[in-house]
Amino acid sequence: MNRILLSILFICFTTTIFSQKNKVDPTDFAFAEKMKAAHEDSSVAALSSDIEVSFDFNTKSEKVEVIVKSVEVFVSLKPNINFAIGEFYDDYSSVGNIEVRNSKGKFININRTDETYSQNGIFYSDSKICYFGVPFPTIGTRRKVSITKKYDDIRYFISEYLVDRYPMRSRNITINIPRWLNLEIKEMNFDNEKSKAIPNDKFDGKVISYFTKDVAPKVDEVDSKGPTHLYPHVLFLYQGYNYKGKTNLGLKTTKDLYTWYQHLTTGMKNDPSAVAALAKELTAEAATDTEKIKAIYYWVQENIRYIAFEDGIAGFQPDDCQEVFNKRYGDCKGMANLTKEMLKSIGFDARLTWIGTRRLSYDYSTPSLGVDNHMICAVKLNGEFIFLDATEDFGALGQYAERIQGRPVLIEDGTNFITSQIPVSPYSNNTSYTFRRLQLEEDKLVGTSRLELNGESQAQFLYHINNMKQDLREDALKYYLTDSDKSCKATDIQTSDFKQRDEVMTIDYNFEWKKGVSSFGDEIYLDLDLEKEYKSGLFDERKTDYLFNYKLHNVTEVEFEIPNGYTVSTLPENLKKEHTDFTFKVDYSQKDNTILYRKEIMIPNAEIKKENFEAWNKAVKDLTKQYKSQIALKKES
Amino acid sequence: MKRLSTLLIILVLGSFVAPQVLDAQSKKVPLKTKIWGKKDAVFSNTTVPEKWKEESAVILFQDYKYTFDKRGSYVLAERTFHTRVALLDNNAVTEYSEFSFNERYRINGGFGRSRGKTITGFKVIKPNGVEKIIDLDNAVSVETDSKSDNLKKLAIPNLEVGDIIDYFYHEVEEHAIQTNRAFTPAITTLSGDYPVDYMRLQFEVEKNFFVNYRPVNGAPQIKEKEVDKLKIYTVEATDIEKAKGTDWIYPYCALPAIKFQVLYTRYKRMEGYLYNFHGQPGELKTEVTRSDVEKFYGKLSGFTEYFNLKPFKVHLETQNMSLKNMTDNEKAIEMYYYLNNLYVGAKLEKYYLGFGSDLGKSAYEFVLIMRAAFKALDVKGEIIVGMERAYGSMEDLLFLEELDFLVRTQGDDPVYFSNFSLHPEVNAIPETLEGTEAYVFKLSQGNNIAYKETLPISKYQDNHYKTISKIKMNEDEERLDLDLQFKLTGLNKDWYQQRYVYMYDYLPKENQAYNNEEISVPKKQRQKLKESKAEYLKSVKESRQKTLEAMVSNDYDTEDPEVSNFEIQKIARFGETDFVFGFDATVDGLLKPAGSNYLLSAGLFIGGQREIAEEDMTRTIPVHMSSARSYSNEIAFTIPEGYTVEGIEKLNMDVQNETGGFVSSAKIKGNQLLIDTQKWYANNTEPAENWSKMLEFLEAAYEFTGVQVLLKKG
Repeated sequence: MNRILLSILFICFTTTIFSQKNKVDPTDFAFAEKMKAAHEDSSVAALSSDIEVSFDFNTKSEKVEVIVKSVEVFVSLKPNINFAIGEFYDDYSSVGNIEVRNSKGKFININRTDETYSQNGIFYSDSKICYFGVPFPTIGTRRKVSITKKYDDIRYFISEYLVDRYPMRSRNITINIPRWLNLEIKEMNFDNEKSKAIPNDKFDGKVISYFTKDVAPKVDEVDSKGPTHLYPHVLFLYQGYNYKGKTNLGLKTTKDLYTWYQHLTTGMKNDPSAVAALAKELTAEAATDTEKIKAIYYWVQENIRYIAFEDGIAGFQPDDCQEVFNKRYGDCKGMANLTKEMLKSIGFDARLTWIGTRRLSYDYSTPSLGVDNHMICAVKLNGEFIFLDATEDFGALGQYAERIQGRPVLIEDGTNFITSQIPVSPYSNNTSYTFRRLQLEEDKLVGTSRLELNGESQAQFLYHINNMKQDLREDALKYYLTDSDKSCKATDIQTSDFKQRDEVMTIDYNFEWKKGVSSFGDEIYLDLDLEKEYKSGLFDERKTDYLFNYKLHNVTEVEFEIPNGYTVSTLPENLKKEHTDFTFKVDYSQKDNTILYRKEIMIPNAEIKKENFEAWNKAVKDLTKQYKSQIALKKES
Repeated sequence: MKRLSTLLIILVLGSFVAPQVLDAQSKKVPLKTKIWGKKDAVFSNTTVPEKWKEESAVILFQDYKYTFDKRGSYVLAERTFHTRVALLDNNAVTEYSEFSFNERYRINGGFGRSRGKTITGFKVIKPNGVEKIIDLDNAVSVETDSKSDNLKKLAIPNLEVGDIIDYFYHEVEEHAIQTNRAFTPAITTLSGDYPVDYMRLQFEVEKNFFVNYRPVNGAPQIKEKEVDKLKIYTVEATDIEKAKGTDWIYPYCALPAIKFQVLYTRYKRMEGYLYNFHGQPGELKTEVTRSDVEKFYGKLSGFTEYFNLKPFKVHLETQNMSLKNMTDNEKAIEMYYYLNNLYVGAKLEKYYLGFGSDLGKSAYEFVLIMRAAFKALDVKGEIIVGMERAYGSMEDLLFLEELDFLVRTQGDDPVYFSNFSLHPEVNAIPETLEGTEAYVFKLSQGNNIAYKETLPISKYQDNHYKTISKIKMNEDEERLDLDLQFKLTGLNKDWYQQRYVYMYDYLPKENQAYNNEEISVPKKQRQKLKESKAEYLKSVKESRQKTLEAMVSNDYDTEDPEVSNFEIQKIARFGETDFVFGFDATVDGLLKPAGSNYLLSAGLFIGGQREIAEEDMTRTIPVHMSSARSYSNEIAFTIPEGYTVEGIEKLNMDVQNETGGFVSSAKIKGNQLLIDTQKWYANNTEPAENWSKMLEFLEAAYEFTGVQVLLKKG
C-alpha cells in the first residue's frame, strides 16, 4: 500500500482544538521514548502495522478485485502534532472507509481531503491522493488508523512494502489467496523479513504472512536509487484465475505481459501518412541511413515538447503519431511512437520498446506492470538495434542516458517480442576536458582556455544553455566559465554550434584570473586550479548510495610558463586516490620553463556506494587539502 | 505553467453569485469575437521591435479591462486580460505552453458564499500569419481540495519558437453590496519579466462608483471620458523595457508604477463608512490630501480601548517607582514596556508552546491602546501617520494600506513608540519610516487637525555592527580557531536578534520584572506543556546551531565549520540598546600551505563583502537601502611561533566619500597581527549618480577579502 507521509502537508502545528482526554499508557510512553531515542526525526511510530490483502471476483467486470485493509496503531514521539497520512489511488483504485480511534476505541473525527496528486514533470495524472491529519496531543498518545483500499483490477496491484515512512515495531502483511486465483509472490530485498503459511480451515485457499520487526523508517534522500532497490517488499505476480468456469491467464510470463502491452498498442489509430511527408523532407539530403535516422531523431527531440500525461489506460497506451505530431507535444510513449512511425514511413524497421529506468530494480523475468516505467524506440540498422529516447533533448544518436544504460528492454516483434539491453558506455565517453596555457602578467594569470565537452556532459550543458532565456545566455556562459569568481574573466568567447550534438562541443576563450596569484617580495605563490571540483562533497549523514546523473570524467590540464628570472621553489606533492567508485589524481611537474598541472576526476559507475562513503570522504578531504597547496616561485638571486 | 489569475487587481468579493446572471453573460456576443475582433491596429500587431529580437519573449500588447456594473443589490465585476506574446526562444515556449485556470471558483471573504467564473480563449499565430484557435475541450480537469473550484489545465499544441500566442481570460463575479465595498487596492510597476510594446488598462464604471488612480515615477496619466451613464478611464503605455533584477531597489520608488482602487457604496449617506480614501462618485481621485487623512483619522474616534491604570500602578510599586515622581516621558516609557509585556511577553510561552494565544496588536489597535493609556496617565501625545519608504513619498499616497503608525510624547524631547514587538525599544523609529514625511495628530480623542513633518533619520554611527575576533592557528595546523564577539547597536540588531535570541533567553527576567504568572494550563494538559517545552528547547537549540554554522560558513567562505560556546551577553530590549553575543568557531580554507610557509586569507577575517556583478556596475535608478549603517572589525591574529608575516601593507586601504567608506589598517604588535577595519554607508538612499562613488568603497571592501598575507617560516 502506497502510504506516504506528505512532506508538504506534514505540519507539526500547534493547536488547541483537541485536549488530552485520555491518559497515556505508561507502556506506550516507554515505547515512544525508546523509538524517539532511535529515530529522532520521526514524529510517530507504529506499535503494530497489519496489512491484510484479500481478493474478490467481480462477476460483472470479470476482473479480480483486490482489497487491502491496513490497521495500524500509532504512538506519537513528539507532543502536540497533527500527523498527516496519505493514500494514493487512481482511476483503477479507490480509498474507502477511514477510521481513526483513540486508545479507548472511541472514534476521532478527521477531515479527509481528496485531490489530484501533482508531481514535478507530470502535466496531468489520474493519480489522486486522499489525506487527513491525525491529532496527537502528547508523547505516547495512541491512535488506531484503519484504511481500506480497493483495486478494480489485480493487474494494477503491484507490491506491498515492509517498511514505511515511520519506524515500526512490527509489520505484518497477510495475504489471503483464494484457490481460484493463481498468484505468485516474489520476495524482494528480504533480509530480516520472514514469511510463514497461516493455517485457516475456514478459508478455501492459502494464507501467507510476511512479517518483520523493529523497522527503521524509509529515508528521503535526493539522488538516491528507487525504493524497489532499497527496501524489502513483496511483488505480486498475477497469473490468472479459474473462477466457476471463467478463466483468465493473467501475466504468467513475459509473453503474457507483452501480449497485454501489444493489445494496448493495437488500440492505437496511427495515421503514418500525416508524418510521412515531413519524414521525407527531413531526410531528403541525408546520404546514409545513419544520417536519416539522426534527422528524424533530432527533429523529434527538438520539436516535440515532453509533457507527461498519465491518465488511466493512457498511462500505458501511446498517443497516436499524428496527434503527437500535430500537437507538438507528448509523453515518452507518444514521442517513441512518433519516432517509430516517422522512421517507418521512410522504410526503416523501427519498433516500440518498453524499458524500466535505473530507478527500477526489476527485469523482464518478472511479468508485472511494475517492471517498466518508460518507452523508447528501437530502429534496426545493419542488423543491430539502435535505441532512440527522444525525451533526452540533446542526446546524440548511439549515446544513451545513464538512467537507461544497461537496462533490459522489451522490443515489439509482431506477436512475439525481443528482449535486449541498452549498451553501457564507459565514463570516458563523457569527458569534460579543460586546457589552459597561462603566464603571469601584472599579478594575474592570463592566457587561453579551451573547454571540450563530450557525451552526457555535453548533452547536459546543451540542454541547459538551449533552454535558458536567450538574453541571459551570454552572462550565464561567462559565469560558468569563470566559476562565478569575480576576479576571473572570460573574454573573446568562441563556441561550437550549441545545437549540434554529434561532434565534441568546444568553447575557446581568453582567460584571466587574479586570485590565482599572490606576490610577496621576490616570491610568487600560484594556484592553477580555478574550479576545484568536489572540494566540499562529503557524505555526512547520508544513508543510501549516491547516484550521479552520469559517469563523470573531468580532466583539467594547465601549462604555466615560469616568468623569466624565477625558479620553482615548491611544487605541491601529487595526489592519487583510486577506488572502485572514484579516482582523484592531481599531478604537478616541471618541464623546462613550464609547470604542468593535471587533474583527473573519475566517477566510473555514476554512483558512490554507501559502503564507500568513508573512503570517499577521506579522499575528498585529501583533495580539498591538495587544492589549498600552493606553487611557490622564487626570484633568482 | 502560467496560472491565469488576476495579475493586477485582486478583488475581495463577498456575496453569492447568482448562476443565472453568470450564464446570461456568456449568451451575449461571443466573447472571443469581441476580444479578438478589436479594431485598433495595435491589437493586430505581430511585429517584434528590432531592439527586442534577442529577448526571450516580447509582449506585443497587454490589455486589462475592468467593468463594475451595479445591478439591483449586486455589483457585477468583470475583469478581462488579453495579451499577445511573441515567443523568441525555447524558454518562452516552455513558459507559455501550459496554462491552468479556475473555470468556476468560490471566492473567500465577505458575506455568504461567492462564486466566480472564468472564460478563456487561446490562439497561436504562426510566422506565416496562419492563426489556430486552441480547442478548449483538450483542457483536463484537476481535483483540488476545494470542491467548489473547477481547476483546468491546458497544454498548448503546436507551439514553436517564432510563434505568437494570443490569449485572454475573462472573469465574471457578482457580489451583493450590503452597504459599501472597497475593493482591494492595487499597486504595480509597469515593467515585468518581458518587454511590453503596448499596454492598456481600462475601467468602465457607472458614475456612482469611486475610482482612485495615481501614476508614479513617470507612469502615464489616466484619461477619462463619459459614454451614456458610464465613465471610462484609460491608461496607455508603450515601449516598456523588462524589469532588471537589481539589488537595493524599491520598485515603487524607482520604476514607473500605477496605483488604483475602485470603491462603491449603495447609499450616499453611507459614504463616510467607506473604508479607504475616496473622492466624489464619478470623479476621479488622484491624490490624497491632508484633509483626507484628517477625515480618516477622525473616524478612529468612534473606537475606544480601555487602559486599566490600577495594575500598572501596582507594577510601578514593585519596581519602586511612582507616577508622582515621574516625568511624562518616563511614565510613557514605563507604560509602553508594561503594555508590551501585557500583549507580547506575558503571552509568549502560550504562543510558542501551542496553547493558542494571540501575540501583539494590529497597528490600529496599538494606536488606540496607546491613546487610552496616554489619556489615563494624563500624558500628552501625538500619533504619527507615515508612509513606508518602499511605497514612495507621502505625495503619492493613495490607500490606507500604505500607511504605518507611530506614537510619541508631546514636547521638546519627544519619545517615539512603535507597535508592540518581541524586543521592544523606545525611540527606535522603524527604518521603513525614517526620514519620511508624515502627518502628525494630537493623540487626544477628537482632535483631527494634522500637520506635516519629516521624521528623524538615524546616522550611520547609530546603526553599528562591531566584531572583535581573536584568531589563531588550530593545533592541526590546517584550520583556524576563532573567538568572536559581536556588538550590535541601532537598526542593525533586530534582524539578528530575531535569529539568535529565543524566548527563554530573556523571558525569566521579564517574568520577574512584570510579576508574570507561570504558565498555567488545566491539569490534564500539564503533560503536554512539559513535553512541548522540552521539544521547544531542543528545536531552538538545534536551530540556533544551524543558523550560526550557516553564518560562519557564509562569512568565511568555508565548509562545515565547527561552532561552539554561543553566549548572549546583552539583549537589546526594555531599555538595553545593544545586542551583544559571541561564540567560538573553527574554520577551514583560510590557511594554504606553500612549502614550509602558509598563505593566510587575512582579508576574509572581516567576513564576506558585497560582490557587485559586472552587469551592475552602471546604474540608472536610485539606491534604496534599509538604513545608514556602519561595520567595524577588530582582529587579532596570533602569529604562530617560528613564523613572520609578510604582505600586511596590502591590508591598508582608505576609500572615503560622501556615500560611505572602507578604511583598513594592519600592524604587527608582538606576536599579534592586528587588523582594524571600518565600513559605512552614509545614507539610507543614494541617487543613481552616486552609485559610482558607492562602488569605490564597495569594491575596496570586496578586494580586501581577497588579500592574502604570507606566514613565513624562520
